[in-house]
Amino acid sequence: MRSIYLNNAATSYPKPASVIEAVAAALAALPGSPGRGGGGGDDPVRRCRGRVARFLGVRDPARLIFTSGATESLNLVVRGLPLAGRRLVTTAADHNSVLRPLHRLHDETGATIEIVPVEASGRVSLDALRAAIDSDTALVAVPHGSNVTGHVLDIAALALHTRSLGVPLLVDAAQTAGALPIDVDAWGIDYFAFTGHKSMLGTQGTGGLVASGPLVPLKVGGTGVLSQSLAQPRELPLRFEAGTPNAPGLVALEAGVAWIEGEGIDSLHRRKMERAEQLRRGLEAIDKVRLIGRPGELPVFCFVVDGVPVDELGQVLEESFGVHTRAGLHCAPLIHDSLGANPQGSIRVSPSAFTTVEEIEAALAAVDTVARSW
Amino acid sequence: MRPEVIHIHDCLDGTVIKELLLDREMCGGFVAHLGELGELRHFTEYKRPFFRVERTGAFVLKGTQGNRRVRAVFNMKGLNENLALVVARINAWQR
Repeated sequence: MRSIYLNNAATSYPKPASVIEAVAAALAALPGSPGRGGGGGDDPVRRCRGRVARFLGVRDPARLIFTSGATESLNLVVRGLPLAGRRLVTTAADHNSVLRPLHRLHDETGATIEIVPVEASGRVSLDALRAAIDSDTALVAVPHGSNVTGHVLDIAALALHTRSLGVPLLVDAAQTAGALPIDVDAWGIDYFAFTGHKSMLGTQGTGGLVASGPLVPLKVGGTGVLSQSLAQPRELPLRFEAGTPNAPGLVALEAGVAWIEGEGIDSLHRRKMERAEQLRRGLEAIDKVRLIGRPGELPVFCFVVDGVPVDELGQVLEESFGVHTRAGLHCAPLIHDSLGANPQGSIRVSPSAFTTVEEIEAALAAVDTVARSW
Repeated sequence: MRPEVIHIHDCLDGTVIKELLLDREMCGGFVAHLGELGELRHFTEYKRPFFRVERTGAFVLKGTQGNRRVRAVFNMKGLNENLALVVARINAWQR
């Protein structure tokens, strides 16, 4: 049975051939000491840092800290800023990678968390967000794009407001980095967290944080330089990158970004949105199918089939028809609360630029068969 | 057939999810055998037939013909007895 992969909001698949070839070449080559100085212009970590920084609109690549992914980046900010007992603002559209670190901070220090709700469509109102932020707010943490509805927040407009109040802004760009044009410096983002394994087309275990303000590192240790000192180097990005870097992963990340640049990010986005729109229209025509919220600007959205348990629908689509979706709450419980889909959750679909018209037709036929038979 | 029982996770709604890994692929006969534990729904019109067996208040078993994995959702109440019942039923499958 042929597999149809519609779970790119979790991990993108397939990867471009150039990514696979780059990783294979990296694994076959002498490992060297990537990211540890030396190696000249061939250092894959330095090369990746430079390309990703340019891609994201970051003028100084040293401010781009590589991590294992968006979750580590977000934790680095929440643990690395002096937030104990302070007032924090986030949204109901956020992922548990934001909500859980904030919740832990609340439990440990009494920090208060103001959660800005989503509208009936699933969108976060910029006006509501702005109204929730005051000069006592110690951090605003928001998703750039929802991993449930695909709605995108106007980060530049929000940053204008947070900057005017002197409040640090943390942006979770797990769903948008590599999917939409981003200009971190021009937009005025203080902390920008991204992952490598989704739209940036790299591997799991890669990602980063662009930091414009001071932070306490999550981890300290070997950096390959200044080894005579028992203190962590203060310079960026070494201060935050203790331990051997994930060089093959960063090779993949650089190759992924290079492929996106070659194809054109707008062109890729258009292709993905065409498939998402084909899928949405087809699902709306199936009896018993109900969309969760209204689709946004990213090629990801959720639905349920009335009368079919969500977990079983996900299992049936995958095992009986080879259609790979994501079933459940997608680590975003609050937006499901708001949209009336908690605790059962929803089926999330997210095509890629590689998804074909025929694959969407086959996926729709599978949903239709299940909806009719259940 | 002797299943290996893998605990997946405890749910907030008072149920427990486990996976039963089998040593061979499930056929239609096995599904019917398992189905005697409760109410069987067998979707044979699917590309690969899916089944669910529900024993009200006790468990739901779900799987796909041709696979070696049964996903089981047990109510916490009576978990050990019901898990033993399901395992015994699988063990009793001879063909």
